Amino acid sequence: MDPNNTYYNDLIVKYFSGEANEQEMAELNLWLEESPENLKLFTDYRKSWEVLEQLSVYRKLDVNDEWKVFEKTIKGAEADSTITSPLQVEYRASRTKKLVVRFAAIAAILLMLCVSGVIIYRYAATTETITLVATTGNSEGLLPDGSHVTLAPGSSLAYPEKFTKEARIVKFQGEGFFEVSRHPDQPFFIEAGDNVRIEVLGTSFYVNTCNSDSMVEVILTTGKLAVYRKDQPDQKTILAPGEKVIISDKQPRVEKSVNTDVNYMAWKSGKLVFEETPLKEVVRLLNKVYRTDVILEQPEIGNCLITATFENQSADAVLHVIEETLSLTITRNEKQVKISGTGCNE
Amino acid sequence: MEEQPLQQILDRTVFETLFKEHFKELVFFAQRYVKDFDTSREVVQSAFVTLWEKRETLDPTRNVKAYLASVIHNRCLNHLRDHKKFNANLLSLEGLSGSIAQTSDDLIAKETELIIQQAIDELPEKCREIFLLNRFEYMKYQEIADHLGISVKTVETQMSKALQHMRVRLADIIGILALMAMWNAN
Repeated sequence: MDPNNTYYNDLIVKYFSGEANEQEMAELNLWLEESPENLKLFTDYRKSWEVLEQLSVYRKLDVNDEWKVFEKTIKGAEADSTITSPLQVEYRASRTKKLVVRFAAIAAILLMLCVSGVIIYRYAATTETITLVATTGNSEGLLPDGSHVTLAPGSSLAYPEKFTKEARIVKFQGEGFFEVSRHPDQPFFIEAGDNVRIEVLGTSFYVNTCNSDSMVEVILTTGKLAVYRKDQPDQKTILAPGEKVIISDKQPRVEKSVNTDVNYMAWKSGKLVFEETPLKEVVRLLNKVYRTDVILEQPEIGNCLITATFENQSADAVLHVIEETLSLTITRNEKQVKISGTGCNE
Repeated sequence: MEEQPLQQILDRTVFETLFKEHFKELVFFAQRYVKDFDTSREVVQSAFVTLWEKRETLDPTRNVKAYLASVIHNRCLNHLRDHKKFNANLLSLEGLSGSIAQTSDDLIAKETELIIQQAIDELPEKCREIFLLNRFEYMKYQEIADHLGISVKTVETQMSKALQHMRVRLADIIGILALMAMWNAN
């Protein structure tokens, strides 16, 4: 590069770094007006700079930390009930990576899919009821008592604006994960589906009303739960962590078992674990968690076994591994993905 | 958890989603003006505070991002004037003065990130170190000079060399990105 021009190269970079003073900026401006080549150099550098800057800005920022700073600011403003000057926002040097725990039960919250659609609407009743509906992705809700719920798409939760003194009652339909805060004098009840009640003292657990046959499935993660049919409150099934119960209208008995499905939280955590799992089960889970439409061309290949763990991978990444491991072929069209093959390549 | 009016809790849940969705893009947007990371963050934080305070009076169907961008645009220009870093011509050459600049589309895909990383790795050691300290740790030239025991002039020269290298290596990506921007616009 022409030795004379290193001066202006340096100046350009200084300007982009925010290190140039007024005088240097005026100088740079004059030089840019001298010739179109100078301007072109400036613009080229600007483009490279922008690409780099986006990368560094995105890497450096932790939106969760920033949210905490924001919350602190508005809390302060509300407490004072004066509007603080916007540029007095303070930044903490320390970074807390763990979420503040407010419940007796603890669960890390990871949102899985892309943009979540949330509909929250109120309708008039004697006490206002609020309904939370998840549409295109998981959505999270915070209840008046501090309990937290994550809903899978297509699920809904209705709860009162203010819980009564005696009990906290909500209505739920679909698939969700609950973290109920501990209030020993105010038991928490969930009406799941048409006829099932879940009684909670303070725990975290998974509920699914989605299957056919008016069936409700509950899996307990931490704490303690009692599950029963609404019209048979004396026949309670108590769950311990890791246990699962299925109540179905078609069968008078209640099925309690130890939960063996390691992927029951996959819709929320983005983590899939397969150990000698048949491909048809993998595909079923893939379609459920990623909302894809993957089908098997030959039903026999559904019996091929896969062992793999995926954490926050894309559907394509998972399919690619399947393709490679089992020597199968994947074809994609408009909306469907087809897997085909002649054997399991063991 | 303290007692809070439920309306506030609901608003906050939705607000939090908005905040986390737009924050990074808006900081990148502010950074183009003020060229200082901490200032960009502050300005964006304050814009969100303003939005929060006005949330009940604003039209709910209004484009939130556009509103925030306009607040940020104005505050950035004010900041530059207050700190004597305002040069109307240069800003206009960067497409930033006058009417509100657009927020950019995502420039970085996984593939381009790899290329950028490679290009950075190709820099000579001292040059790379200085470049990373300024561009990724956001240290000022003087701070870098003090930290490494070199002169500010050396920092300036090395930064310049680094950007020259990046310009050459990123030329391909930038061409493709420009094409993609055109396709998306059509």
